[in-house]
Amino acid sequence: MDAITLSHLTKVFRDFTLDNVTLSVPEGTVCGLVGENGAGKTTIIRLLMGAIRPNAGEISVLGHASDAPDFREAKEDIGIVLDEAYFPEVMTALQVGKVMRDTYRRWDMEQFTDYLRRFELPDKKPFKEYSRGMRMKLAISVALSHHAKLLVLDEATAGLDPIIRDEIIETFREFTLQDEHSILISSHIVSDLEKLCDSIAFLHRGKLLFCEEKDRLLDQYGIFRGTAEQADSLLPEAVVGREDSAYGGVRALVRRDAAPSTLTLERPTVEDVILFTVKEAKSA
Amino acid sequence: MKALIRKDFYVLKKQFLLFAVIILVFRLGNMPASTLISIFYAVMLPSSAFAYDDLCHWDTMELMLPYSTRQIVLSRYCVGWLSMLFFLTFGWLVRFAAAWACGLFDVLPGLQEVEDVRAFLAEVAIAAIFLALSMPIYFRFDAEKSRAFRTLMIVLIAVIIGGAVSFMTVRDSAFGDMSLGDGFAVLSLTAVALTAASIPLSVLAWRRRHR
Repeated sequence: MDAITLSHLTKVFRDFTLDNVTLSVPEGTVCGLVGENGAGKTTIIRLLMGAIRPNAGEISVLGHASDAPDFREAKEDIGIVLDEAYFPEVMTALQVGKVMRDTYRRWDMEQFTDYLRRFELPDKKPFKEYSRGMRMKLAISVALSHHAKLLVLDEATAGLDPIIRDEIIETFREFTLQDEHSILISSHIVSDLEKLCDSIAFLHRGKLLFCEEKDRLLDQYGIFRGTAEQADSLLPEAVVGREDSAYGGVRALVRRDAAPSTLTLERPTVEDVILFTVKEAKSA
Repeated sequence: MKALIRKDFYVLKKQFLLFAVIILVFRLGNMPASTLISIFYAVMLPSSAFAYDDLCHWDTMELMLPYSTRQIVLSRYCVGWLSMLFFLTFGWLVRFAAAWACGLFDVLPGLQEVEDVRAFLAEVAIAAIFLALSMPIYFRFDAEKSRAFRTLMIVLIAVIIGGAVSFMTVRDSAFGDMSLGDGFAVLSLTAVALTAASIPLSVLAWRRRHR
């Protein structure tokens, strides 16, 4: 079963269109939603949480259609972390916990206080006195304290220092240890996604350019390093994108199935695939 | 819904205490504007809750949580009604307590028991009317845009209270056959009718804002 299914999803705004996006996140997997600012990542998250309605297409989350009256049931099983922790600033962590106890039927106060302790969050200090890292940790504590089956994370690690980011990524990894737990994480910090994700969906200007299993994606491509003459000798359809240096060297992302088998290629990172794909999309 | 009401009271806790002190001072001083102040604060507190929500973008978060539109809208009405009842009851209790303590119950003007109960209920009705009128605006627009409407409301509340006081003064000569009870009945019915219309309007306004 898929935790999330988006089918031909379209949302038209005055200055932006999310165009015919189809993707699925199988149960028990982690899908990374990558794209530049304004590519449509947050729009997808708002759509799948039922916060806005699509102009066309269908959305199903944990088996519930997002426009169905029972979608609130699905939200009980979704832990959400947005790019900011939007709790009222005068509230303390303990008060946030009490509000959430009245919000989620399966709220686990013990688990919540455990997370507060683990993240060393003061429970009686007003939220406005928290640092950004502490705020995000509180939002994550809330998302993980009502026995959610799906985590939806919208730029949850943006603006955090590498140590806190690593701690948070580790927490998400622990969440995925249970078979039925799934995560959809949007970020433009590709290195975070590379550590965590099973599949990568790449959005560019409202269009989904690819949605692939991470390992399969990295197997499809290779990084070519050589001279301009060697690069020119490759079939045009083999080269996804290339960077020419001032010294005559070329670095290119190459499709393995279209490149000569004798060619030595390095394994790319997800970031390589994305950067070269964007360059190609922009020059097209 | 309980979660949302709880959240609003956590957020408004300091304002509640501050307003209670102001009402205490006005009522103990038996100042003429004390009724106006009680109604004003009762109606203004929900608008403060909306302003706090805007400030921290709570509505973005709220849309992601398992709340229904009706719960979101009704919880804010409940906060309005609860604060209205709290401030008006508190104001009257202070006044009665002060009058009783000073042994002035029978000499202060307008403190006869029946008249006072009616006047109290009339205050509740006036506050409920203003709450019903303002809520759809607050649900439709952000706090910044609603500010002009809030100013208009303050003026309206002052005009209506002033008008009511003048009416009470001249009613014996000009409207001898119309009792205070009639006026109260009209106010109560208006409050109920406007509230009944206001809630679905607020639901529509909220949906339109977040569509």
